[in-house]
Amino acid sequence: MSTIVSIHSYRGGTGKSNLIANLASSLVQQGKRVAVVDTDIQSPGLHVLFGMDPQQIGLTLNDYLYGRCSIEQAAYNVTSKLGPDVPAGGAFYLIPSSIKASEITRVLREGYEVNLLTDGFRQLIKAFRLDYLFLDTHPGLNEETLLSILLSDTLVLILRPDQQDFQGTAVTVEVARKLKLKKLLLVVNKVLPKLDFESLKQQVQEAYHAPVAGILPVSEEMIELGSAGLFSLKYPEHPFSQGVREIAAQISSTV
Amino acid sequence: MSVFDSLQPQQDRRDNLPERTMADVLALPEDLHTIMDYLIEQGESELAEVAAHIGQDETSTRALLSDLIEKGFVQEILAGTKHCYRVRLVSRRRIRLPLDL
Repeated sequence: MSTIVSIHSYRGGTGKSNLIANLASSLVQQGKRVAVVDTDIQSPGLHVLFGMDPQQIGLTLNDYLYGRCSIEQAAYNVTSKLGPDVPAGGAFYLIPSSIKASEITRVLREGYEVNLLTDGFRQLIKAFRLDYLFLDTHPGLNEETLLSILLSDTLVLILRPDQQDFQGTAVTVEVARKLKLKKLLLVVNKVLPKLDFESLKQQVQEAYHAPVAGILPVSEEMIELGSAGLFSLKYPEHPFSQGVREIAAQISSTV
Repeated sequence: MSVFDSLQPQQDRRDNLPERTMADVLALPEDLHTIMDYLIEQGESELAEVAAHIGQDETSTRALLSDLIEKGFVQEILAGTKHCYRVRLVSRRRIRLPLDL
């Protein structure tokens, strides 16, 4: 039985891709089989965290959606990026989206058939015997986001302690509930370390009537890393990395 | 008149159906919305499976599915020897962008 997890935010720049890459890594390090699909086809970036040079990326999700390859052919085994300590059985696959301007504008112009994407997810789960399929989404509410939410067993909504994020997240929660969401978790990211995390957690939980899976601190090290790698591998004892492991545990417990 | 001539009106009707997206699904009445959610998750399903999921008899379910077909949300397909229902959705409506962009 596999679990589909969408990571979403109402606004951009919340740290969605960083969170998804680190969360997925954490589960792989527990011996799970995980794939991450960059469904943010309009502004893909997940591949950067895995050190994939855009010029060297071969087949992508776009190639699959336009009938040029199978979804398995667009999947890259990135398990080795986690180092030698991945337990036996653990596996990590990344399905990147194309960073070519012509491919992005094609999606904007033509869209794609929803059946193809959902069939592709089912095929990935079967072919790679996945425990978890993570979907990185485009920020905001649009047709593609609604689909990701509907397909998810768990939706992780990430927000910053910011009034615009608070209001937008309320709208997203309302729409997600209309889609009969199975499980909703909230994550507050980029929080100033001087704030009272426990008090913030209580406030957010009460505001949205949903559990907060983690409060993650803003950190200079993260800014310095600049998406050039997986933060939790480089700084495993950092409060951010500890927070990610706690969120991963809550995702696991929802299965 | 060939078999293809007789199929042409059906094809024309399909071509004239509006493109449907998830935003349109959200605007559907509860019973139709529930069927769409189920079909999206399942990929394709037979009448009896849809009926079992929504807890209605096959006659009522067929009427709901026909409504969805008429509105352009669902298509009936032949999967092997089975008649199945499958969603007919696009990720987004086509927009006019210059081809050289």
